[in-house]
Amino acid sequence: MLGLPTAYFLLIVAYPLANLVRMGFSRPERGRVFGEGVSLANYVEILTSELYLETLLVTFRIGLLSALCALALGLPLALYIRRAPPVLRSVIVFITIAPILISIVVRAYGWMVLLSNRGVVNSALMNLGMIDRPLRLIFNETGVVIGTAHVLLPFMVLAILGSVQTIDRALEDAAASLGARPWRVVFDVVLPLALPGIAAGTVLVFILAVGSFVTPVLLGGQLVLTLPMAAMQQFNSTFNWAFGSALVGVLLVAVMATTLLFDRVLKRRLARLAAR
Amino acid sequence: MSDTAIPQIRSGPLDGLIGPVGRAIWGALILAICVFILAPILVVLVASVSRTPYLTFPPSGFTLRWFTDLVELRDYFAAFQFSLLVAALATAMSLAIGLWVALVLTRRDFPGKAALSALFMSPIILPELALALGLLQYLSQIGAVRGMLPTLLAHSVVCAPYVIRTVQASALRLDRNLEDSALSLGAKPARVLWDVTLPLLKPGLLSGGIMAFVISFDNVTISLFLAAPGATTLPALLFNQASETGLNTTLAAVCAMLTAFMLLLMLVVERLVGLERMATSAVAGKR
Repeated sequence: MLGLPTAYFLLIVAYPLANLVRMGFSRPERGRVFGEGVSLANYVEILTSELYLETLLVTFRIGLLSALCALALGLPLALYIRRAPPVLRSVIVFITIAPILISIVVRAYGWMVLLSNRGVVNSALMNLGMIDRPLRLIFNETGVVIGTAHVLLPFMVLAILGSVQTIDRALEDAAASLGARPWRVVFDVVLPLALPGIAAGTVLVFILAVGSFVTPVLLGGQLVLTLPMAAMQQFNSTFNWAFGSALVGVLLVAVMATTLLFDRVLKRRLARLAAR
Repeated sequence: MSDTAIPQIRSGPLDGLIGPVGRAIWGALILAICVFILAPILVVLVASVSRTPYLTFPPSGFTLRWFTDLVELRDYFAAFQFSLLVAALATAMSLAIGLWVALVLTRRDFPGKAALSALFMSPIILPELALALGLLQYLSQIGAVRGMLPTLLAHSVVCAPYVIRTVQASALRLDRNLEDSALSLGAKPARVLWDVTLPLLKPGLLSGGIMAFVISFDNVTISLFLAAPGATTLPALLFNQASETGLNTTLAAVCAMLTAFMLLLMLVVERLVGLERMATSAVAGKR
């Protein structure tokens, strides 16, 4: 029934990826794009060189901070959307979702206009006399995290809304009528039930952030090196594709491990927690 | 929804905890988040009519000059046309794949269905860079060249999962009795698909199709590695220019026009399916 689409996906998705992973396990040949034979040399180099360990660390730090920022902004938004009056609700939902349609290059450009040394934020703060020298908000990890969190925020809000909108209002009303203070209702009733959505959103944003490439290049300048950027350099300028493939391999392992861990372990625990 | 039926005890999630002051702070927090979301988008529109690429505060004067420099803009228009063509074709391809896969996945049970479903959904989770570099390497090994065809193939697999999700959501709600009656009245299966099933799946196809168009049209990574360097998509060209030159008045004008185009598309989406409905069914797989 699905022979043709399956063959298509195997040919366009699975085979090239398998081929890439295979290339990561080959020995790079001097002066040649493709590697030869079978070896662990690329992975040994990645896991023993200070530069690439640092790159891994930076990549995961940016992924984690982006996920936490998106959560810090997305959770209030989702809680607000859940209970807002209809007109306000549609306005906020529109503002949250509409950026999905705006090109990520345009949004990165917007952050450059806002955050660069001569940008809107710094010139406003300096004119107001609040700072003497421009704050370094861009072409560093701060800029990358701000831009990445902005790009991925809609996914976080949609994930949290997915679990928060199904909460039965009667549960909260029951807790309130039994004398629970409103903040206890939020912390003891709403948040535990929202936890699966919060976790799903955080994991999704982390995965997408770790693999992202456009925002880190534009907002990190050439000063922040992440795993996807390091891989791209190998493919585009160093022409050591075997080594570049191994870098992508590390990225794939990280993404798949995070997904599996979430699906197999975390999801079940959260479901059990929510059921209590 | 049920909001109107039940007497409102609390209208905000933190109401009662806080009183008017707290409510004002809560409202200000939401407003601040909305400003954060809108600022980088709106500032591009302002920058495009500013005299300098750097927007100072207060602004330094209004000009439309950057929109009229047609020589500077020529490459961008060519890239825009290429993007439209690729996005339209990728949308058509992912609609075909999505319809096929979604119908089979919702209606048949077979061993390995979960694994197959994971394969079709994988492009959403897999880093795009991995897909792009994998294909680039494979193409080079078999001696093929970069260009429109590989770009299109890669776009179609990246967009198809969204169509699969939205069509699955529609297909689950579809009343199979309607198809059965058409069949029992003597309609040929192809006719039933065309006259009964497809119209009933229209909301899913529409949401998925628009999402596929947007995903393809905005894609940078795949186009960057698989399109021919001379004939690439608008986002990929913009990316190259922005990473080379940084802030620049022509770029600001192109970004503003692209944003205006997307705002126009948003209005269409809002009228046809509703932005929220499209996003929840395509991204969260709900409804």
